[in-house]
Amino acid sequence: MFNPIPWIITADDIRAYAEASGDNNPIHTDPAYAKKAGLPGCIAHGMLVMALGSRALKEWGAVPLASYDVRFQGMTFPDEPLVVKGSWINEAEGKGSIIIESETGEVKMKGTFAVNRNEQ
Amino acid sequence: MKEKTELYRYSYTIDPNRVRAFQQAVFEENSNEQFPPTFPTAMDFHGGLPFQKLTELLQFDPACVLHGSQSYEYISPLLPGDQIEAVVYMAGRTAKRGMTFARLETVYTKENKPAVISRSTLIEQKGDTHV
Repeated sequence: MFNPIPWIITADDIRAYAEASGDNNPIHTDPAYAKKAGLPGCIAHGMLVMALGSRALKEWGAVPLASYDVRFQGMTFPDEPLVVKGSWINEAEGKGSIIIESETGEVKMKGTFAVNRNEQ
Repeated sequence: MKEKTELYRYSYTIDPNRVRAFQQAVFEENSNEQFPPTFPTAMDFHGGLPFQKLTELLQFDPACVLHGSQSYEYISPLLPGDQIEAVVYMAGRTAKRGMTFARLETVYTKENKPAVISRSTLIEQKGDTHV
């Protein structure tokens, strides 16, 4: 298992991601719109959570990626303490799994990755 | 709907400034050599369709859109400055229990060869969960 990485995504992080990615769905940045959509407040982009995962893969040395495949399973709120966890499924083949969950164990994102062993 | 149909296509030159801004936004160190793995989806918004236009095309209520899943297959490296042709396909559309699932597939081609393939599931859910 790789070293778990604790992380917190702030409202400023979400706004910065919306700007940098061009994903301007207002449920991420406009609290009034988010409430109108039935949410308690703004939520992080699933893609920001996925990017947090790829950042962790890089930190763990699981590069270069051949594939990265995730399912989004829960909403992530600003300032919610998260933990990024990962492990090899088959290290020789470069295949592993990754999960991002809250400190209380609520799964936000779960998936798999493969590293291109031919380029290393 | 089971057959893959083209939704739209676009050309995009990977702007080093946008890559740097993206790296910063996803907590990565700036690097011209390492391309952020999830940047292709940002290319769709910058070079393809903004979120509102995409939901119009899918006939989804923008306030009820979930991102269910996302995957990337990396075939050859992309770098800042590369000229990309992207073709976005509807790979499937199904309805179940009040939810509509749209499976999109985007093939990013560099120098006439596929470099990255992205697959995502977008869900329109008139309910309580959004990602």
